[in-house]
Amino acid sequence: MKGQTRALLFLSTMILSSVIIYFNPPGNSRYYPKCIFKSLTTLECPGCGSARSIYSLLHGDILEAADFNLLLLILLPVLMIGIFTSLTGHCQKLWDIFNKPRIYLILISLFWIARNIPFFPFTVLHSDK
Amino acid sequence: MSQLPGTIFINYRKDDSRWNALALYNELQKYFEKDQIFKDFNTILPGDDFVFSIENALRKCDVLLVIIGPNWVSMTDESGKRRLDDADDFVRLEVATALSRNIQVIPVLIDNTTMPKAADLPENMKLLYRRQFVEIDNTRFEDDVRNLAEAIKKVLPDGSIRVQPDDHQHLKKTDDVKRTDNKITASVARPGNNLVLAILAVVCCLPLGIVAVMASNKVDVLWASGQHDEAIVASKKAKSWSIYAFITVAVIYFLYALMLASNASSY
Repeated sequence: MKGQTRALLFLSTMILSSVIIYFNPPGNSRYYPKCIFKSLTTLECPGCGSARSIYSLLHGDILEAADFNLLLLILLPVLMIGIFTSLTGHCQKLWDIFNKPRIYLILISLFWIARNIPFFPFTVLHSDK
Repeated sequence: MSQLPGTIFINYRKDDSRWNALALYNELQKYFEKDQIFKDFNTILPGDDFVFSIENALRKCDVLLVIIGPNWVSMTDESGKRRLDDADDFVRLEVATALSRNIQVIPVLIDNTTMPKAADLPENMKLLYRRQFVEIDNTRFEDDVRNLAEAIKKVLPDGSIRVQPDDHQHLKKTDDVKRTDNKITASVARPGNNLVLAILAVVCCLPLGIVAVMASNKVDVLWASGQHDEAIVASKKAKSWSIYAFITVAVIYFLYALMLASNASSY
């Protein structure tokens, strides 16, 4: 019961935020707060552009989604499997393949550094066009 | 099913979890031989020295399952005194004896009971708080018991995954000591590394999330190096970091909404 409540709460939050993002393009909208890290340092954090990326994804534009935040696109399937396993307990073996924090630590750190390097080809990773 | 040596004792309060203990006793027989599992070993005859009897019974015990139900902590005797505060309380005597003898003690939480806080436990039971617990939910009873049985198999003498049968014959005295150490420190279940939450935090534009991913990695590193207690602590920390990240974003959203509202009203 406890697990079911948690699953329900989690899924409804996911669906609600997807619906909000679907109908409100994040771009320059004032309804989305700016990333604190970006506002303070003008540098991008690994998550910058993820709202815009999800918006593009929800509207079926994968290329644009990748342009806003490539990391998100890579991590999204991993998250899906991880969430599914932790909520239902199924597919534990599949999740074990992806459950490697070290890899993500390296991936996220590299992405963080790379997207802040101000020349081509790294600028591709920047969330702004 | 091949029989593993070693015995499992089920410790419970009759008024708190009599039926759960019985159900668990029956269900565990799917995985172990009936003569490996003991449920009512605290039947002590008049005139017996009960401390001695418990010591004697636990001598054969490899795993002690402590069934903890909703009233386990708070239950009182006729005089209104908390049972756990009674030094002669059977549950307390058995658990404390098992803990002091380094028997593998597994708290089994039933009916959505949460793990008792260290402050609620008498001094000689405090170590129970640090043992990795197992939850058994009525709706997933069979699955939960299967997981429990898997965990028990890992700590029973020859079911240990660490000691291969081949190595067994070459065990020297020092190895034997080491092996006992392993048994003591071996936790029941590998703690979750909370990676999903950590990645979610990173993706939600929260640099704090990366700390959570680091903590998550630490859980796996500690576990792999055999520091199981530390891994359990790290697992909780990893979760905390993600939660801090989400609280931060919630606060920021709230402040942002306030700012929007005040801007809107000033126009």
